[in-house]
Amino acid sequence: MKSRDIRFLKILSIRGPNIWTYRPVLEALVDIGELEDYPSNTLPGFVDRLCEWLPTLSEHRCSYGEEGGFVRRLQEGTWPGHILEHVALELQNIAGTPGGFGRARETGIRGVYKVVVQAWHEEITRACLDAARELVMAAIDNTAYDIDATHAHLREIALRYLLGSNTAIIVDAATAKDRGIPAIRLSSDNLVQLGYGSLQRRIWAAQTDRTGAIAQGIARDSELSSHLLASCGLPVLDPDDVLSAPDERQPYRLLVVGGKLVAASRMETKDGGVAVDVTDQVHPAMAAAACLAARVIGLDIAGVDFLVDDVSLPLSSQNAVITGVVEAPCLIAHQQLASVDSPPIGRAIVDHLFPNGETGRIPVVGITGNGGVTEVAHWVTEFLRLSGKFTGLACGDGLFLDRRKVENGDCGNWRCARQILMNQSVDAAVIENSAEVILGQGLAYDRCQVAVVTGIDPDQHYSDYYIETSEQVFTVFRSQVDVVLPSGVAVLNAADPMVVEMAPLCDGEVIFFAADKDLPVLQEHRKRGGRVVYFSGGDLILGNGIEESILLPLARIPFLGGQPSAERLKTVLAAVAAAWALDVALHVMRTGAETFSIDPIDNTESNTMAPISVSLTFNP
Amino acid sequence: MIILNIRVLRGPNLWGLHKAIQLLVNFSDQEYCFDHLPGFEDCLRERFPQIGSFPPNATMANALELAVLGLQAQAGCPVAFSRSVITLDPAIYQVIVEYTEEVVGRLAVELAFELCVAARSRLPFDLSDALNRLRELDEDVRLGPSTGAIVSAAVARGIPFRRLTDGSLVQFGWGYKQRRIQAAECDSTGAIAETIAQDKELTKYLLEAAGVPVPKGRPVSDAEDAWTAARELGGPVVIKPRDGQQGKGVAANIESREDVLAAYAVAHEVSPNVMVERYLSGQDYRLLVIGGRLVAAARREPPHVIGDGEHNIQELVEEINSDPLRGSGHATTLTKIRLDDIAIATLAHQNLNVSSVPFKGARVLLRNNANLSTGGTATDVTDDVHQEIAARAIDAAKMVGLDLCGVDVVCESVLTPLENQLGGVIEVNAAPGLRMHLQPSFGKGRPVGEAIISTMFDERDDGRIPVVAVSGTNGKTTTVRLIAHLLGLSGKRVGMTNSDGVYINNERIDTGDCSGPRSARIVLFHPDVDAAVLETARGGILREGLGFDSCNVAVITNIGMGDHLGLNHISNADELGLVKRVLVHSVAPHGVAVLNAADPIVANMAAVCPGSVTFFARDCHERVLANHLVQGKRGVYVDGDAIVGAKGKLRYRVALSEIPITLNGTIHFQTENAMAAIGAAWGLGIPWDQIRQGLATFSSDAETVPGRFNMFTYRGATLIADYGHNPDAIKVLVEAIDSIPANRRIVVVSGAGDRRDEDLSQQTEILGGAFDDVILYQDNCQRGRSDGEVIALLRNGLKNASRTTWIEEISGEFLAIDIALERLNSGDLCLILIDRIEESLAHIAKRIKEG
Repeated sequence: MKSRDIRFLKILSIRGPNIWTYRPVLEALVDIGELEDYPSNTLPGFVDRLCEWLPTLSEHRCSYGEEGGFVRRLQEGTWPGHILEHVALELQNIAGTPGGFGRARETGIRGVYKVVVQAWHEEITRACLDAARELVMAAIDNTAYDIDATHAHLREIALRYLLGSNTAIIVDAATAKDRGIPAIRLSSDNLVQLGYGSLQRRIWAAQTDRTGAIAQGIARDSELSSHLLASCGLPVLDPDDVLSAPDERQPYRLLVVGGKLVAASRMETKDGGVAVDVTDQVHPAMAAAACLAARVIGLDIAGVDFLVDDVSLPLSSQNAVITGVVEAPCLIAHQQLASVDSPPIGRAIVDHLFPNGETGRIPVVGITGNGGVTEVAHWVTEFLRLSGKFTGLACGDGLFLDRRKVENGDCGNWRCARQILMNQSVDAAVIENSAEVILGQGLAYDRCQVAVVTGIDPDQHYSDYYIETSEQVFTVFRSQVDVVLPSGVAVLNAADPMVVEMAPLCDGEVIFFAADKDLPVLQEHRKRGGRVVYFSGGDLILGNGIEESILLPLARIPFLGGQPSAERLKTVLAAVAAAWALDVALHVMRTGAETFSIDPIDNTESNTMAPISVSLTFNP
Repeated sequence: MIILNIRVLRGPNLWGLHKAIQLLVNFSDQEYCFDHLPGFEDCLRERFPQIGSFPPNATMANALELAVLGLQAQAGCPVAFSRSVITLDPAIYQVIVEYTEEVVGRLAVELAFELCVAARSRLPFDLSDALNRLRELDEDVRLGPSTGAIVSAAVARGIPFRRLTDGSLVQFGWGYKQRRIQAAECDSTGAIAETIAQDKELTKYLLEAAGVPVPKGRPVSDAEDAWTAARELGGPVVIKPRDGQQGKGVAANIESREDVLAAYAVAHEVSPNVMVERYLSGQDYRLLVIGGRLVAAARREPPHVIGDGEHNIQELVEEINSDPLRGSGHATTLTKIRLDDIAIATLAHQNLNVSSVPFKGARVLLRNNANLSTGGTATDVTDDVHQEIAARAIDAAKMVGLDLCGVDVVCESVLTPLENQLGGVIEVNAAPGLRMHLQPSFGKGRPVGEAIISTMFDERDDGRIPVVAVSGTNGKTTTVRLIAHLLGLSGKRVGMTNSDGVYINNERIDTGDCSGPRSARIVLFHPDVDAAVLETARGGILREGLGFDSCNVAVITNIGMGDHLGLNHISNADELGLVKRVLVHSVAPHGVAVLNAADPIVANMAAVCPGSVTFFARDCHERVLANHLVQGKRGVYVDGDAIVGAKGKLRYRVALSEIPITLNGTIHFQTENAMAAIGAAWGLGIPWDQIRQGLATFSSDAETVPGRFNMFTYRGATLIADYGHNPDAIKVLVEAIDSIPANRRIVVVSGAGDRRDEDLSQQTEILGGAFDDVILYQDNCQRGRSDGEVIALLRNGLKNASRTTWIEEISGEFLAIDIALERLNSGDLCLILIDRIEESLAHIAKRIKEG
């Protein structure tokens, strides 16, 4: 039975929202060969061996929606692809990452499956998939398997790749549903970007981009810190005090974030670890002193260490001292101790970085469909630039940062889109996503402000990805609409029945566009008070419910030429609808439409221009 | 010659606005005059030829003075001011010399003393050693060139600064406006950004994402992969171990397959992780980006020699180092080239050693890095930088997140965009050195310090908060509290110092007499202070100078007969006036001095005020005030039932009935305090409505102004507690009490031992004419007098008392109070001149509560 094997034909790392789920996944193309003829119930002892090595598999609900569901499926008979999925998920659990989403689907080729596993971190999930294959094969072949070694190995990998716990507290709070701030990990260390483009903020454990390097240096110099604190009237440890008689005072750590006290704990005298949460006992004057101490040192996040008799009394009424101000303080210890009703620390930091409910989101426009997508992307970019936004564009003919072309060739992909979202100058992003990108790479953003679907050719299939039916094609393109923010807009081609079907999938508003004013979809949408864009009487019209306004006559749009092709008309409609969705001012839309040319403003001029000396005039 | 004491005057002082060291020196009869020391001046000049010229009738004090000044000046410190002043004791002189660095000044004093002694005793003095010690110490403690340039730029804009450490950590501005720098790094420079900049790979990744050209490349798995990578990159490549050090195993500028394979093998020996990167050809440039603008650029060259075909490398280096522009530290434009281990290793890498003779025209590198401090050179190219290169440098700084950033670029020329040549950014540096831009080896220096300051402070912002300094013999504390109250009402968080403590936004953070420069500095340092009101007593001015370099408003309430006379060589009221005048001298050009026109010594201070003057006096016909008003200048006076602020035809009236502390204008000294405060508030631009509201809500109770005319009622009698301690204070108290009807008057009084005999007696002389019963008390604190001495002086003052009929001597403040209270009947009045303010007020409060 040598040929009984499970082989990974290909493992795709899909790094963003995709046809399966909103989260990154690994999609393994698995060939189970002859095992197609051996469902689990036909392999003697297989289920028992599997359950012995992974007893927690019994918690998997699977198809039956109840605990033990998956074990029942095993006993009734299921195939290695499906088993691989569950084992990989369980191994992720063991490694210390939450299990999450999994799928196993046939491809249409006998014995070849797509096994999809949510990937909190690519490397960890890859290791879990590999381990799952070995484990399942050992169970099938009834050979020895060292499950403990696997546990250790996977935990070690997880430790190496997962975010540190202090960073994770903040990232989890940011990305939680009630905040909805996107996060991009920028390095294998704990450097994480929260938000996109120019609205991003950076964190690194309990440091933020507002944590000053000088302040950090001061905090690490205890003598200087004490001197500065004392200069502002804060009580500090007298060096001669250290030798004095045994101290009745207790050490406390007060955690200050953005000028507010967010947590306080009594510490173990010996190891400095946090012992008891006292957040709700701290006297306001004590809290004010802690905040002042952080301010004097210059830290936005600080642990302020006190020695006091009673933290619920004001500083002045007791022999209290500040023993130090700690930069990048440990958050996790406070978090673990905190009572359920005390405010979460990660959230406090997120609110400090993003006050007033800001989400750090710049307008992101995702454009997909068959045909015209690149041109629509250029149009939308032009509108955004004209409205004063530094706009990044990743599309079929390059990567552009404002007017500068940074890269040639097809840049409508995950990498280039990510580059734009990482760029601190970018006020708005326009990103083209082909079906292949959605299938093979995923979207580069978690949610977007505007999704544009220009149209779908149901006959174009993607056999590389086993997308062979129009239903499957629909699933691919709908991913773009699925990620529209509740406050966002899907711009959909009303003349394309498959695109129209996507309207109910959108969490936000829908704007339909079509050349033909009388299209029933358009009419219906207007009746319900929706926004539509269309042509009428040689004019480009914006319809808002029953109201309509002329944007400009088609004759004033040079892009359309004398005899506009249907394709170009569609481009203009989609672009104008997207601009409207982005609240671009009408006069800006008009000027954009009147002046747009697919050839970007010539950039080469600057290369040949004489250097301009840098002006160095300071206050006269 | 004995130096009795040394004082360091760190702020504006009796002698001027500059920092100075003040020596108190005792000379013996024989030595104090040059005439008694034949040949001394020649001996002195022999040992220190550069010493300045002496005035006629020069004394040893002049010798010491000019030696301290001259030694500092010769060591390179920019100092100019010095003085010698004889005291009342003809053998004791005050010698005052400007300094720039305190420790250097102190060392200069030490060396000057040695010099004078040596000259007198005809002993040798090693001048060059002395100057070297001073120079070295100065270079050690003074700010480095980068920090120095930033501080100078701040000073030029009038921004105050304070060094927080002996190093390069400097704070600019006061109160809530304060900002910090540390070398070329400012408080907004992020710790995360610095960490990123230190990680070359991460930096490269981020820059590439931002579209900044960087040496592209990737790790390779084997030699063949290295060749594949080289072909992918196209053009010459660098092959290097990924975590190598000091260029070990690095091969640059290679293109052929053979070379790539060979280089891989070499790199692989150093580290299993080998990188292939695009080779950037050209020269090293440093672009300085500050606040999103390119401010300066320099081409940097590592130390090198050019062969002449005759001399060996060592000789060539010696020749270069003989250039006087090359020094050993940071002080000179260029630094000497060192032929150290690194240089020798660099030579070995080129198959050379120090005795090799390079052929004519050959350029031999002695180091791979171009730091000025190791002998490199920098050429300013700021004006040549192409806008696209500048834009990429700015992009790089932004992507890493540095507001102050040195971007290292390698390219053939900065005249064309990087994209058009094989150029790129190789590194981004936090806290970049500024010396190469301030004093490049070749080309123009750039105003880099100014650029940094302009990112921290807006064009019109000098980092200062409003500062009001208050001094005078009496009324200071009430005036300070009243001004603070008026400022607080206008929404400002007020920092206040007075003789009770330091207050920040109404919270006391320090106790005791806080009217000195240290307390002033605490207030100005505090981040939660929007405005400062500083009581400024004479002691601090004499001891250390002011705690600030200039103020917006200086208020001098009065000098009168003076207080504390006889202390610190201040023997009369005129001299005391000179001390308090320092405040007026420190008023900013746009500031205001608020001066008591009725006090001639105070009125005379107007002459030294760099700003404008507001005079106040109860009587608008008072000559100084009237002359001032007639010229359209500001004055404050009493007109009928109101205090009036007048300027030209403008009149602002505040009814006395609306100023509770004046008791409808009956308490004259409180009226004067109110006028002084009004003058200050007016000078600060506080609207009159707010001034009126503030005056109406300010009361003279024991909480607000403890020990300042606090009135109580006890068993139907009136109690007044006050901290009055000098004849002037007593006089105004008596004046005030005269307006309060009473059957019988009792006073409880003690004396502070550190006052002059006549001042102590004078207090009771005044009281004897106004009180029926006098209770004299003494407490533990005799301030240097023997037991009973003070009481005797007080009793002496009562000898010819016109009203006093009953005198009692008590030991202990509380007991004295209790005895006075027992004697009181309804309708009587009792003035308690308290010494320990808080304790006694608490005691009085307790007795009143008991009823």
